[in-house]
Amino acid sequence: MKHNSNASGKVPSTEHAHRISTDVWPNETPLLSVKNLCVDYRTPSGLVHAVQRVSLSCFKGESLGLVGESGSGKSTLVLSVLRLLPRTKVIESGQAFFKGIDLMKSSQEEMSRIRWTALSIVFQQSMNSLSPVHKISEQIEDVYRVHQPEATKAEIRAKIYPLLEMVNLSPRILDLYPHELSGGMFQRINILLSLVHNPDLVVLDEATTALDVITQGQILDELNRLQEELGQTFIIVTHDISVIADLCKRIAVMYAGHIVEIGNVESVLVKPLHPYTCGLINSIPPLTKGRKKIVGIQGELPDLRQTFAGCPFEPRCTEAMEECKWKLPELKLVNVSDGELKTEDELRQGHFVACHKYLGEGL
Amino acid sequence: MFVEKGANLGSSNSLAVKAGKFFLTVSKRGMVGAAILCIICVVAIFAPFVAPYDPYVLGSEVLQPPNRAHLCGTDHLGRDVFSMLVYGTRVSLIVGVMAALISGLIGTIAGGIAGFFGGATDRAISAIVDVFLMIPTFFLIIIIVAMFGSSFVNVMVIIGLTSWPSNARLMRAQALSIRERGFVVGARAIGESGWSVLFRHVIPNGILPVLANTIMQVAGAILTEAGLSFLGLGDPNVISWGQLVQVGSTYLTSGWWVSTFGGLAVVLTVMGFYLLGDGISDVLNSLSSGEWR
Amino acid sequence: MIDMLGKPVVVQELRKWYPVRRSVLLSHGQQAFVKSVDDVSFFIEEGEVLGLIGESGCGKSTLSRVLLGLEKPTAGKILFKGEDISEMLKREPKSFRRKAQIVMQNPFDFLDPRETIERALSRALELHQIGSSAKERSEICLQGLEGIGLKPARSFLLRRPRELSGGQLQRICILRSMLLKPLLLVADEPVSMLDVSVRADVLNTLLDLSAENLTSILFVSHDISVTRYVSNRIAVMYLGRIVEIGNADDVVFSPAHPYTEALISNSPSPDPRNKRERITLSGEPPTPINPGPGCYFAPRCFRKTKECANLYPDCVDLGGGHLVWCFNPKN
Repeated sequence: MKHNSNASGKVPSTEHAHRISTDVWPNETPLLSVKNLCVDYRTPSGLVHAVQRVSLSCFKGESLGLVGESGSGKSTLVLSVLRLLPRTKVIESGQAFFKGIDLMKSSQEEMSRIRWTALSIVFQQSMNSLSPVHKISEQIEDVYRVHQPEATKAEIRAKIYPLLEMVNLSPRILDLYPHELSGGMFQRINILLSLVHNPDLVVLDEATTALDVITQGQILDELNRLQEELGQTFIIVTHDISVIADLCKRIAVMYAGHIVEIGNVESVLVKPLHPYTCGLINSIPPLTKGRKKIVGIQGELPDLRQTFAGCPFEPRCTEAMEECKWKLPELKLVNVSDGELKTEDELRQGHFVACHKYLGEGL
Repeated sequence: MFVEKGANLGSSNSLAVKAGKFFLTVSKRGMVGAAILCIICVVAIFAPFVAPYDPYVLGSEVLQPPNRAHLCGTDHLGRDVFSMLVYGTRVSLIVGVMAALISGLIGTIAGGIAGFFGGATDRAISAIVDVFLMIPTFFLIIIIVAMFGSSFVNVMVIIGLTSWPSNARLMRAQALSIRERGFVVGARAIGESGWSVLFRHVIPNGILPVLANTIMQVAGAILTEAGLSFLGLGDPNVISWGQLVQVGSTYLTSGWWVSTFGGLAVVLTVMGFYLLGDGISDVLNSLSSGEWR
Repeated sequence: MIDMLGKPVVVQELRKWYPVRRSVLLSHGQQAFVKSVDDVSFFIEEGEVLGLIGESGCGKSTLSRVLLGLEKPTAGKILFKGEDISEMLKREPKSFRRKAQIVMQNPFDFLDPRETIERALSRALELHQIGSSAKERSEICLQGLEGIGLKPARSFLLRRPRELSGGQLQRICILRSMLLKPLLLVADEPVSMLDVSVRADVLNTLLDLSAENLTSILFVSHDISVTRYVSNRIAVMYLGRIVEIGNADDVVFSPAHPYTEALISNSPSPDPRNKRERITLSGEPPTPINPGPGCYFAPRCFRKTKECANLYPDCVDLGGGHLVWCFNPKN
């Protein structure tokens, strides 16, 4: 019997394909668990360390927000987990367990099976993501049939109509062409496409950034509805803290490729601990009465081609101490005042900070 | 989309130096082409030192095959073919470069004006460009040379005047897209006049494809000049490669080296340009593929 | 609105309509217009920041272009200290240009990528004969850079735009405009493309330099919290018309027009405890082709009454300079 080996010499196992279970994922194990993920970009002027030893978890039903500015590595992180980075230009290491399977070790075929059926992504509004010469209905059918080639039009329509209703689109949109859609409608179609196969996890990468205030508000309402009624889990990658405050349960703050703070949204955004998080929140002019002068964060992003011994935020930190210069702070759990936490809950509910200010505390 | 820091952090190397270094590492073809053209330029400049004989002097050693004294043999009048090749370099390069310069200058200005100002001016210039692109230029050149005489300068100017439309088209396309850019609005806002914006900002920022095209036009002009000389329409008073080919064609069987070396010189030069052109497009491709953010 | 002539910027019944090319048969011979700016009137005091909020398609970009003389109005007047700007443009275009400046969204696109900062800054001075020699102009640029906190100033002069960060570059764009001491600066989404942590610096630079030069600023944005931070007064635009105008806090905390209410309620807040009920508007934001008759917002309005569909609402004065164009304003 002939084996078909792929490039690495491994025989692709057919059992592996069925390991992406269609059963409901249990609530106690993380849906996505990233461990020590590192991504470096190869450039003519050296290696750019875009993501440095990032570990985080996302549980079913608890959306996670990833916030950071340019150079934080947040988009690189999700693109790496989804294996969408060009292989020749990056060096990736670490693990990313999605429903028990390490995505970083998966082959192209395995990833194709996972993508869209279990894990999908919506990008920032880009008019190029849909073919301009096909009607919306044809494009939806096209995407649907990638994973279910036998599906009939009637089946697909039956699947789509409830989703259309959830995102406030009228069925007559199916007969339109992409150029006839407004920005908001377009993005809703992208969101719908990402949900077509009931994926366990949907990543939204700056998905509401280019939209008008009112349209963004409506889409945030729709996303909340999807979370409440369908139990959909999202990972929201954005620079806009307010979007995360609205949609997510957990938030991770990234700076220069590191996670500097991670915790529940009520904890991190109301009582931020890391100086960077505090600086970010203070940079947003409040919409409450009274006028406070906002102060940004002084200084510039560090050069990601350099490796730092200490904390990457140190040069800009107003509370830097001597050891911040030469010792990289680890993410440590900080005492939570709401009673005692069980050890299993630590990952899910705890407030972690990577800062020497707090390293004395902890359990 | 967020704007981020540029890739060149604090370095003060000029873009030209960087581009040069980059070119050399990325494209081997480009390097070879550049090398060939360098050699040809050096030969042209130092012709009196490179050529062993005066190419105009008639000699007694008639129709000698290539030997130690005459590397490429002699023609039916005893002239050293190698020396003729060397001096021919000057003619070819001068005609090529000057014709391309004329074409580049007229094309850039015409295309820039058409693309930037638009309206009736654009329609008029585009109509002229369309007419030129319809006419087979080589025949046009032959007719004009036949009418106005075949001096060296005439040939140069005529080739330039018939090849500017392709540059105009390129520049117009660039101008159309650049005029929507923010820095054009910014320049107008601080008070630059339209013409000033065109020459200070639009043309310099859009010149790259036109430059690449003009470089290739040098090769085209050299080829055209060789063709004209071969047909007997070149300047009879200067020695050019085309003329060599034409002279040697009458006794190809008995003295193959005259035409052959003349032709080879043209082939080598044109190949050098095409390799250089390929090199430039290799560089532009790797720039756009995002390696060099 | 008594002494209009003294105010630095006065806009009167401004209209900018673009004809739509449609087949004569299909449109029954009627010319359709995209009414980008339709009967807009406002003024800006010396040194005041007037915020302009509205969504895409409301006409704020067109309004900016007309104010800068980059496009001619279809009707109406714009007066700078009492003088009609179309006259100024005809007589002395350069001197007009000095009076009206702009800062745009993308600083990397706003400066010629091939020029050094020194060239970009001193060219502006050169064009208006500020400084009698290259050396003097260089000095002025150096002082300007130090004044906005970019030190060492000399090294900034030699750099090109791509070597700087977005925040630094935007501050330099603002500096360039302010070196000409303009009467009016139009800031069109100046911080939308910048990282959140650098916005404060840019906004503070804008406020400092405008206070120094007593420049009036029209701050165009879709971000309500940023606009409120920066502005003294705010105007809200919808489909080419101003629907509400007043002091910043009045408009933001006591919005009278239903559209303003919807905008404010949809503005996201970084405080997760602050989950407001968002007002949803039905339908999609329309394009301003032949809107009306009646209030342009009526088709999507949640407070509309019978009269809203037939007549365009008159202006209602709510006191304290707070004006709204609505038949059913709140309060």
